[in-house]
Amino acid sequence: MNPVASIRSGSIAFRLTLLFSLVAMLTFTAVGTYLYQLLVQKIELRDDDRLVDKVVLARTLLSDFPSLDALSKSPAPFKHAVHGSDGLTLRLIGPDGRLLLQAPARANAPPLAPLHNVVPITRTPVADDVHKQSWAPDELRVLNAEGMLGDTAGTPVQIAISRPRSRHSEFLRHYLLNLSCAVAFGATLVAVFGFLIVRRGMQPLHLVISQANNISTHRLNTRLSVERGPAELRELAAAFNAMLDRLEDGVQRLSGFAADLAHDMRTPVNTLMVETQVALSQPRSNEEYQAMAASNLEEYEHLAHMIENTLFLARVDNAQLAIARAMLDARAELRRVCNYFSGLAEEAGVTLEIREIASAAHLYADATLLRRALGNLLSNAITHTPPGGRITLAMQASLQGLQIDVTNTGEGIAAEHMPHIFERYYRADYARASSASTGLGLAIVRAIMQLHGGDVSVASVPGARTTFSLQFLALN
Amino acid sequence: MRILIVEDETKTGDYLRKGLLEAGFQADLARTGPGGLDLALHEDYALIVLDVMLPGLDGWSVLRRLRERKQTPVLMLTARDEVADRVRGLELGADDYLIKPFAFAELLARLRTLLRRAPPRPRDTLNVADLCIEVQRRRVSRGDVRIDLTVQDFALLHLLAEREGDVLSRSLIASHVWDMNFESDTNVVDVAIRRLRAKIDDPYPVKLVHTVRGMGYVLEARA
Repeated sequence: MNPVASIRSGSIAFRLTLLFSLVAMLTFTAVGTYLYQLLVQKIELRDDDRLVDKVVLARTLLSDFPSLDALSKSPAPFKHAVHGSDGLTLRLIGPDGRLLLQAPARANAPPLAPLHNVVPITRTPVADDVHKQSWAPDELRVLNAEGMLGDTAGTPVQIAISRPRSRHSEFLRHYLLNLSCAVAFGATLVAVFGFLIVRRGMQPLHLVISQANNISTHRLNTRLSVERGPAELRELAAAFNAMLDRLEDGVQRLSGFAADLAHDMRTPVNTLMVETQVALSQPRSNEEYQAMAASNLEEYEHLAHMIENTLFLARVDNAQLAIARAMLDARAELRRVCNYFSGLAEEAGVTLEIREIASAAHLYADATLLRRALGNLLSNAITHTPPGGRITLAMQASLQGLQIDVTNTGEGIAAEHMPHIFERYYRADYARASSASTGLGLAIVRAIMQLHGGDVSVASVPGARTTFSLQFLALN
Repeated sequence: MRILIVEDETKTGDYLRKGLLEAGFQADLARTGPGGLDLALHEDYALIVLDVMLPGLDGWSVLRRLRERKQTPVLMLTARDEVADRVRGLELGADDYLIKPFAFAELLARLRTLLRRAPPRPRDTLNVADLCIEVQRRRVSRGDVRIDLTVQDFALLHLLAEREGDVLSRSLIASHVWDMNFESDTNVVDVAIRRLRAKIDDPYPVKLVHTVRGMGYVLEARA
């Protein structure tokens, strides 16, 4: 497996530990590098200062010598000056460019290069005057300065002092090694303690896991409790519990739905079975058989219709229904539906009318679904309006968009049924429900309105009238 | 006209065949996908009724292989009515699509539409027995008597007369006359037919509009 992927799929404790160690390693290395560089600089500065000291000393010594001859006779003070200072090489060069003196007189001393950046006699050298000079085995730090013999003529002498740079390399290497070990050890400590801390911090998570493992569809009422856990876990548990609430509600409704569906399917199937069994129990005339087949067909159609409606609702729930919205002339739609139902209303002795609407109104909706919703409302209204009653379709601009009201006179809906009438298979009065009704009409109206981002509501005055209102959102 | 039915469900297949034979077609029945494809490729059919769920080779595959060689019109039958399925069927070259459960009258109407090579020519005058419909002038008469019809009544009568002899299902009537394209619990169509009958049939001894119980309505002069 790809290492990055394996880290991502590993446990949180492992990942955090790894990241902790990585961050610790990086931080320690950065700090160590900084300290090491600082040390190297300090040492260099101190060594450069010593070069300056030696030059100043050489100048003082030079002033004690009366002449070049005297200098060549007793070079001891210069040898003492650099004695014991590892790697220092002091050279005195005469005005004619001749090497007067070299201390110490070593075979492996660095060669004498042409002198650069010579500090004049008028100025005391400082550490900044020390400069680099390349040399084969190592780099040299060099300080060149003018000196003056103490005679009255004032013979100038060049002082060249140098040291190899790597004089402290052994020490620095040790220091670097120790530093690296400390960094590694520190990072390891962080990793170990980090792992322990993280694992301890994760403890409440295991509690949540063991609680979650106890939840099943039969025990959906169980809830997670981590009151004493960290805030993040309490949030997680709260979110999880909210999800369980929704699931429990959904499962309960689903099982209720299945029970209703079974009941409503069983009734027509039972009718069919009994009817057919009775018909087959003895020989009958062709007319009787035909009547039975025709009657059965009605039940089949009822069943097919119920399945179609149930599927429609299921697909709305799963948002699989693509709706084809278009700009519709709301008045034309109302007239069309009115037209469709006018015969039925007339036969039921009910007046069906559209209240005149002043301005043209438009609806952004799926025409088939809108007609279906209005159709369900009107067909309900016609069923529940006593002869001589009146059904009114009205349309008004509402705050959100457009509202269509379907009002019918009649006994109204009892308050106890109001919260349930949009539920699937809910019938206010089972005994009175016509066999053609599937009990899904209003559920479908609500589903259609939800598909459109709108809503349906009902208001009823018992003994007087009932109004169903479809709210369509404005286009913007 | 020879029609091939490819349907694995025993009862459905048998009854479809029986129904088509009785409706005046010659009908062959294949019960598997490969069997149906074989017949479709080697025999000459005017139309194929093809079920989607088939053993051996499903309806989609049968249709695809058939289309490689032949353009026989195909009407697909399926219990699934997902839009994607429908689109898939039509993309593969199906000519029409019917969802189970369907009314047999609906199947017959669709078959006849597919079998009619050219769309029906709009006729200006339709005559059924002594009923005369002048479409342009929206005038209807029986014998010498003018009959006044509402716009709705006229639309309904016109539809029935254009498809004289065909049984029209309630949903087809609702769709054509009112543009209501959904199954409805209501008996709006029955009411409309009742009103139409009161005007064009009730006063006369020869009835033209007939109820085919459980299927729909038909306009024809019966001997």
